[in-house]
Amino acid sequence: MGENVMERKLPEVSLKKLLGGLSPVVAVLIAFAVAGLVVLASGGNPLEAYRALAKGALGSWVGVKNTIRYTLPIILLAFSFSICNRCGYFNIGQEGQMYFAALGIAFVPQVIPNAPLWVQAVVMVAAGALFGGLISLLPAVFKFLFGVNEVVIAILMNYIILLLTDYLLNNGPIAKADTTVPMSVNLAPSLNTTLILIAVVAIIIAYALCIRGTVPGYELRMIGHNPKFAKACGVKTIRIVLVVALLGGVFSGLTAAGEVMGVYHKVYNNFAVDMGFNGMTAALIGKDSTLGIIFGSLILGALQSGAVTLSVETSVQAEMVQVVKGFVMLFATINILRYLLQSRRKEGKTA
Amino acid sequence: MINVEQLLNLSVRLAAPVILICLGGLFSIKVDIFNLALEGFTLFGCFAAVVGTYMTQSVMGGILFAVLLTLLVALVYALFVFELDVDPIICALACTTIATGLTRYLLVPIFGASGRFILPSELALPTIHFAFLEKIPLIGPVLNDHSVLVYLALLLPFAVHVFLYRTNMGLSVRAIGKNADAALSAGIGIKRIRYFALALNGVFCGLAGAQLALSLNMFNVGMTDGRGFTAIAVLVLTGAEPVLSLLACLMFGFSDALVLTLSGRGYPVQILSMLPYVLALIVVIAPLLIKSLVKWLRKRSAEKKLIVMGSDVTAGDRQ
Repeated sequence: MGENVMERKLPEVSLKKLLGGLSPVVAVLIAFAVAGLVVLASGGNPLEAYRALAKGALGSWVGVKNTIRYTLPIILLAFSFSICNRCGYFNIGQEGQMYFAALGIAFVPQVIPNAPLWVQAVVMVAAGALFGGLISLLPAVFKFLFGVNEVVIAILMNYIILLLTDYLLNNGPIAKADTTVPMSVNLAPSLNTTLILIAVVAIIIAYALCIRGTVPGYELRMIGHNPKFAKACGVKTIRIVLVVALLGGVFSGLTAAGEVMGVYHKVYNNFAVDMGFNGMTAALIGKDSTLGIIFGSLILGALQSGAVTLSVETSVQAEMVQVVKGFVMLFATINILRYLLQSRRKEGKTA
Repeated sequence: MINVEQLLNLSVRLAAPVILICLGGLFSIKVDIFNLALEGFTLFGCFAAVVGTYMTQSVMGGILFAVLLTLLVALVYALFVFELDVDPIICALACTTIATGLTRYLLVPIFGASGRFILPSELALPTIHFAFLEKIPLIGPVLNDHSVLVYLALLLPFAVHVFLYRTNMGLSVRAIGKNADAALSAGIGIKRIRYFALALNGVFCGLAGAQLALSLNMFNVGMTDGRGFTAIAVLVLTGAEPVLSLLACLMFGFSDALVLTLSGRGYPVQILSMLPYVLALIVVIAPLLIKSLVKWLRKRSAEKKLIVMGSDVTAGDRQ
């Protein structure tokens, strides 16, 4: 009898794991289907739209390159959300953090104009990480000192920082004169795309190892699973959450450094628009696992890179991509397969 | 020189949508759902109001369509949160993203316009002029010549207050917010009341969206501009009390009106526009800051007393 029970239990555990892994895929598929219905209802052809998206994202070498270019920042932003989410802190200030970091980056050449370019570049990346981290600490400090909801604070701060960026790009030392679109002066120190790719891969590996294999990583996961137990075990909860909030901001700051120094070579008014939501969606698709996050980021990156082809080749506009993303985010939070399985089991019990 | 009467009149008009959003969010908070989707609901409301007005060629049709659509969206949100156990905050952010994306996307197939759509001016929300208000100085010009939705926004907080504190249904709503398990054992149908509260939330956000879009006679992508989050800040400040929220929202309306009036006078627009958000931040943080400061001071004085007592006892023992 005992052996029988053992045998029965084993496959169920692995089945659960398998379903947990499949669930994000199903969520993404459902989201695509629902967004397809929207396209159909508004007079477009969803199959054609998805074909154009896939072609734009993966059909050519340029498309693949673009997909990778869009995926890398999403991975970092997903880490920024996920590391905070693991210990129950909701970090949605990424956009504000990125703008603030970008301002810090843009000011570096003003402060040390005579230093060699590579020194400036290193200082700029460090400034990005520092500015992003510090601004990300604010909501966390308010949360733990006074119990204010961090989401409200972060969103209000996002608006304020965006307006500050807009102001500094219009007036002040870093503003470029005589342009219709607010932007900063050109930044000479730049980052190579290959270098960014290598750096992101290194960060991914370091992140995965730290979360799985170190004591702070273990404590972090413990706080996420059961904060009371963690506290009873002597984990300094508040200190760890503050450090994690700082790290979340550092990830956003590094993303900003990559975008500003590797892609645009200047700070634009709206360069980070919607990027924070992309990162969060990727983290939700990946359910905080590193591989899952990479999968989620790839999907969102491909969507973004295919959007241009979509509006060129079909009558469906590129805005559809945002609709898809919203639905992906919505469905990613439901563990769909588990839910189906449970309801079927319930039916079995009542029958 | 700024015309004070005009400024205050504008304040009331700009406060109206925030008041309505606040009343909506209040019902969610009362049944223990921290609803960050207010922004998304209201954006759907704005869009539906413009679509409805355009399709039926009447303002009433627009308002009705806005209310119906936000009601539907709120019920879907409730379905996800209550039945599928989705985290309310994530679901809310997803709802806001979908609202932004869908309204931006649908502008093209419906109106053939991208970014914004301006309604013909004969479809403007009519304003009501009361003859008797003319005779009262200051208050008269401030409260006169508003749309019907603004007057609704000024009166509804009192109605909501009466509903919450003077009716059985209101008692049930408050009971769920205080302690859902206790409410359940008292025989209150929790699920029914929660759906009811979320439905009311949707209706109020629909009205807010209609006022926001139809008073400007257009739909603009992302036109809610953080008003949903401002409303949440107000609710945190006032502890979700309807009449207090009305006063706080009027303050926000005033800051918005000040920004609008001053921005044409050479002051930097971006810095001025920060005012409502900074105000919201202060509003959220300040009361909690004061509360924890008072707590800390009390704790310290209590500790001092304990130390004094403790030293007395030890001194007595030695003798």
